[in-house]
Amino acid sequence: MVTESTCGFCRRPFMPDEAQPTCAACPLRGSCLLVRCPHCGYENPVSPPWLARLQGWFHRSAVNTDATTQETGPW
Amino acid sequence: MSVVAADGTCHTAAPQSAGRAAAGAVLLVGAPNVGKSALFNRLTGSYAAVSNYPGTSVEVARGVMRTGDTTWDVLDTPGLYSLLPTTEEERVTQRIVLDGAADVLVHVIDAKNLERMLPLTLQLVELGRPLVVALNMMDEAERLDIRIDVPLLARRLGVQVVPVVAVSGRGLDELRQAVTAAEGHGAAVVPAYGNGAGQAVNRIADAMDSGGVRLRDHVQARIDRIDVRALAALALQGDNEARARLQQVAPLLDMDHLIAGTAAQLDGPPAYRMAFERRRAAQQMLDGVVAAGRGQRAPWVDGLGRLLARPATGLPVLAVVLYLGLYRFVGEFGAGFMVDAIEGILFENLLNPFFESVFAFVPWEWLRALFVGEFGVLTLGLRYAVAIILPVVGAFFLFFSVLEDTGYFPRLALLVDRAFKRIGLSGRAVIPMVLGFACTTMATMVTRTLETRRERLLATVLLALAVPCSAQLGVIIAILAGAPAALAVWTGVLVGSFLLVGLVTARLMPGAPATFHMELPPLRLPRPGNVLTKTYTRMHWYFVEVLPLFLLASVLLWIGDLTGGLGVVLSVLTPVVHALELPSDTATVFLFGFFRRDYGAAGLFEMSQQGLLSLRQLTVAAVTLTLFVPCVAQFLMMMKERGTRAALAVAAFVTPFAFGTGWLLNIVLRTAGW
Repeated sequence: MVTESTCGFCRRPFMPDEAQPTCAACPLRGSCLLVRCPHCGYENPVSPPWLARLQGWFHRSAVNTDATTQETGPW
Repeated sequence: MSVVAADGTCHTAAPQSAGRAAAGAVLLVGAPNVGKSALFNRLTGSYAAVSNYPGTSVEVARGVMRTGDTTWDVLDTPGLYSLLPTTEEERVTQRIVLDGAADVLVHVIDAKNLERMLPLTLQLVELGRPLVVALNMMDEAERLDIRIDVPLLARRLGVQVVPVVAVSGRGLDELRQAVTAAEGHGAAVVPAYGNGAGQAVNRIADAMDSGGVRLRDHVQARIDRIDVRALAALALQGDNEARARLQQVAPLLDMDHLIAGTAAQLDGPPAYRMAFERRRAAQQMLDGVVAAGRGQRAPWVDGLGRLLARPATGLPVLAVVLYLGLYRFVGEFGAGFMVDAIEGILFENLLNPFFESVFAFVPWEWLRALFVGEFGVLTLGLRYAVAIILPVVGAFFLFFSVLEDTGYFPRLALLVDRAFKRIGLSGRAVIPMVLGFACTTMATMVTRTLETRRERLLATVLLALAVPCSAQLGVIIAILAGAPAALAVWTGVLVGSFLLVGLVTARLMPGAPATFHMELPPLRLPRPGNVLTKTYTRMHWYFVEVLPLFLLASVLLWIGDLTGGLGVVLSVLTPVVHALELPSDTATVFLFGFFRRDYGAAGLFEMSQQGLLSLRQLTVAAVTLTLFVPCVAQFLMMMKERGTRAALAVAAFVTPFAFGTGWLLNIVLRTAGW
């Protein structure tokens, strides 16, 4: 399943396939665990599948809040 | 029916269904993640056609909405944050919007984040087209106790505002009615922008009207449906699409001259000024409209964010962050305690004796050396990667991920923007510079996101010269941690070299000054789950990349040792390190550094642990090694990104600069009695 990522720098959401144009020239394309934000160019780590599944499991157990609410943070 | 035509415009075709009147086209516009597609599905049912926008791989969904006896064609556009596009998806949406063929625009916004959403609403209001604002996710806003005075917001915007919940269908009837009512009634409010921004937009629009012809009387029909001020604002911000459309309708006007002349009268770069004033207008518009709920930020958080970006307060905070994060945590804990534990206990007491006992049965010395010799893949390559580099980069990435998750980096970008402008860069260059502290090779590739060629080349030079990668940084801090004066000298020389080379290069390479503006995401407390996940993922990526290269470097050194090639290279380097009054073994460290920066740093770390270097020699070696020619991977990346000539020129400059600086520093320190 393709999931949306949120950039660690500008916090804008993007889909991994949006990052491809900026990653296309990289020799490590497809084998690294980083995707580049199409908005600001920042490199973001992508969780390996097993970790994403684990996160998903924890996430389902936690209170269901959407991404934008989480962005606001505990303050 | 409206369809996306080959020229990218929407045209009205025959009605959809027999017995029903086709009213026109509705365009759903909004930022990603606001429930736009959910609203599209609710409005159109399950019948949607998805096709690529002509000439692109960007998908646009089309469906049909019915209100009474009328059918509407509904287009779901790719998400965008502003009509000034940065991605291909945003560019497609901008083109569809500016074509003006939609009869009603529906701006879908997240009711919980009005302040971040409203600047785009104002841009859509500027278009003068029929507009309805759909306040989506109202249920979530209510759960967070965010109260919105919808009638007041509608009055101020001059358009209908409809609260909806797309996932449940709440408010959709009202939205359909609002769309019907809005048709033919363009947004009448002209947003007021201060500090000359509004006047600048009017100046361009007025110049077109007085350019010999009345613009609006002569322009093509579909362009005429967009208020010329909206195009003027976009053109002023540097948007080529808007500039071309204006030029198309006023071919006799020197558009470049008009825009440049108007932009020069603004305080600061027009893109920044317009975005800032629009944001300020949005904030003023929301005054009294939104009552803060439980999920809203406290005002002091925004205040703290601003303090972090101002030099007077931000620089002391940066110093504290670097001291605690890099010096105490990465240097002392990661490179000190953790390396001692892993190398001392795991490798020296357990693994190395085990490897040596296993390979003691190999009768050929040359083959034994490949695994457990001076350059053995187990005793050198594996040990350097696991015992020295991994704990250092682990500590660094943990520190890095904490800072990243708080939203500190965008503020750092603003903080250094002024200093970076002096050396021909902008705050945007903070992204590759910050990433360079993780891995300079990857950061070199990221320089392609900088706006101008000059900026890209400057950033490449500075990354190659004065930005140490994470492992190198951590190890060098650990080496010099016991002598704060030496660490201060190392820091001073590096920062000085960065600024000096930046200033000189900026003078030598003329070009337009770089501009930078960005929307600051909110500050927040770091989330442990996020931090640990990012740290793990970065460590995993780094280790997977570094381990094979360390092992390969060991094999190459072993081959060089066997064939005598290593001796030849070292015989070239040895007189150079002697000129710096360093021991001969340091030549091997510099050679390691060419394979990988962190490999060289690990070699220097080992020499320092063995007590082979005095304080002066350590300082000189650390400075020279940090400035020294980029590693093989970074060099190849420079060739790929900037071309072979530029890469060779950078290497030809960096190498003598590094050794020259080391030589000079040695003389200065010796004279000072070190």
